Amino acid sequence: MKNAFAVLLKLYPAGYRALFADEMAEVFEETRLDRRGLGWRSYLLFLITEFAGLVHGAVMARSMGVWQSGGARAAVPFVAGAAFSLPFLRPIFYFARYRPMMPSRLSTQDEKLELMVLAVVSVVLIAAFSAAFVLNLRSVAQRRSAEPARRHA
Amino acid sequence: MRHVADEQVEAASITEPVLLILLSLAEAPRHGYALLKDIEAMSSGRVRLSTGTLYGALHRLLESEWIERFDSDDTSREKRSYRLTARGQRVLGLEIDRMKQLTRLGSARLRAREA
Repeated sequence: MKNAFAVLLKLYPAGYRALFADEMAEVFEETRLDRRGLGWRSYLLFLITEFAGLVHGAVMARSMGVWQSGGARAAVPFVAGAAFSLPFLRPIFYFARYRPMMPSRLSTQDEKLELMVLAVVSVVLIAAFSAAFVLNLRSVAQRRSAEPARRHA
Repeated sequence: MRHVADEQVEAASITEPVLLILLSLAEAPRHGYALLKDIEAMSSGRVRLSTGTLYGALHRLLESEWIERFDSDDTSREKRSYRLTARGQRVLGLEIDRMKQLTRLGSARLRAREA
């Protein structure tokens, strides 16, 4: 889990990682050890919320970076990418901001299983599309930082 | 005067996680894990911030200079802590005043409806 978290931290901009990555990994590990004793359902929901929150945070950090560095010209690919990705990103905001319904409140085993399967499938799909979105933002930021160097050359 | 007006506008856009972080730091400086635990306790377990959400909010608060980061005296492990700045205290005060006003207004309107 620690390694998976460290991999997802690479989605963040370098400056952000330098400032917070060690601290974030440490906080995640401490919270993970807390949650591990509360049963596998609680632990799974914790992991889903953590990983969704991490991807959501990376998207927000990269979006801010593109806006701040690029100005109006950077807005075109950003808006196009965001519009395309929005339907896939919405569930991330849901998972990041609101905890999913607790399985213990559901009445039957089938309902509980259905929720867990839905949650896992959603997170896999969301993670794939979000990673594509973040990589797109990353390449936009890299292109923008390479432009002045090309102009000077 | 304009400075105060800007802070009032900023205070009005505070989200719940940010408000809880500011409230937690209003009591004492805290590091990331302590913030998560305190926020969970303050909200009676209703709000559990993920690490990504917490640090996203801390990043924005640092950029707005509402909080500052410092090396804590915790000798058991190397930890960075966060505390409110004077500006952060002012913004939090404004937000609490706004909420008090809303609460008073809401109570008055409910009483008027019941009467």
